[in-house]
Amino acid sequence: MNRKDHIRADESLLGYSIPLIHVILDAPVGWLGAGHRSIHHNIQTIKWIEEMFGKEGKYIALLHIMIDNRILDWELIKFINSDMN
Amino acid sequence: MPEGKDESRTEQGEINIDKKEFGKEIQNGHNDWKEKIRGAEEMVEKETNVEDEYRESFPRHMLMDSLLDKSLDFVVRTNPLDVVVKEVKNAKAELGNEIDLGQEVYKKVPSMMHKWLDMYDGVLDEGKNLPRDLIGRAAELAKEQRSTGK
Repeated sequence: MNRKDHIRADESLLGYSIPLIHVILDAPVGWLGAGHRSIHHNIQTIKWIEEMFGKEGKYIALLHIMIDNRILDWELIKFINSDMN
Repeated sequence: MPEGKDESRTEQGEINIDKKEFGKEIQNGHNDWKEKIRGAEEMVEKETNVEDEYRESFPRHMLMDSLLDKSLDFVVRTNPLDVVVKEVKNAKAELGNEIDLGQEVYKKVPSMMHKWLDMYDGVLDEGKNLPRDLIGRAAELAKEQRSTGK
């Protein structure tokens, strides 16, 4: 999912979004390409984002990681996004 | 001392030994050996202690591992999106698209998601000291559940 999809998923599932968190989490994509998920998508980054942005930030980071690791099914998110709008 | 002369020998070739000194040397040597044996015994004792500790800690580690696995499985199974999408699809099948029940259902989603994400974060927090990738394990479990449909 790209950044716009992540932001849309935040808004429909959490009711808010902080786009900067997605920029931080996906920052290594610039030099790692598709393998970016091995970096910044871990517990330490979640804790760091919680310290920087508070509890809302933690939820957004957790949701981002769950979507990228396909713990949450993309199809369900797309269905909800399309159904809500 | 002139070369070739040994003080411990007399001119007749008899060995002249100071008995007290000799006794002390033997005693010192005996004490040295005693210390060495004690050290070796302590080392053996330490080794067995480490072994015991390992034996005790191993089931605990295994237990933590399996409990966290079960908790992760539970968290992945209680995914609120599954519930919401099912509810919306059922409502649409019964009532058709004329009545927009979806919006009412979607109002519940943020609070459900917050609670669910808290659950997931709690499991990650519990297992943060384990040498295991819990996020990866959750992804595996989700994939298994999707493929088996359970």
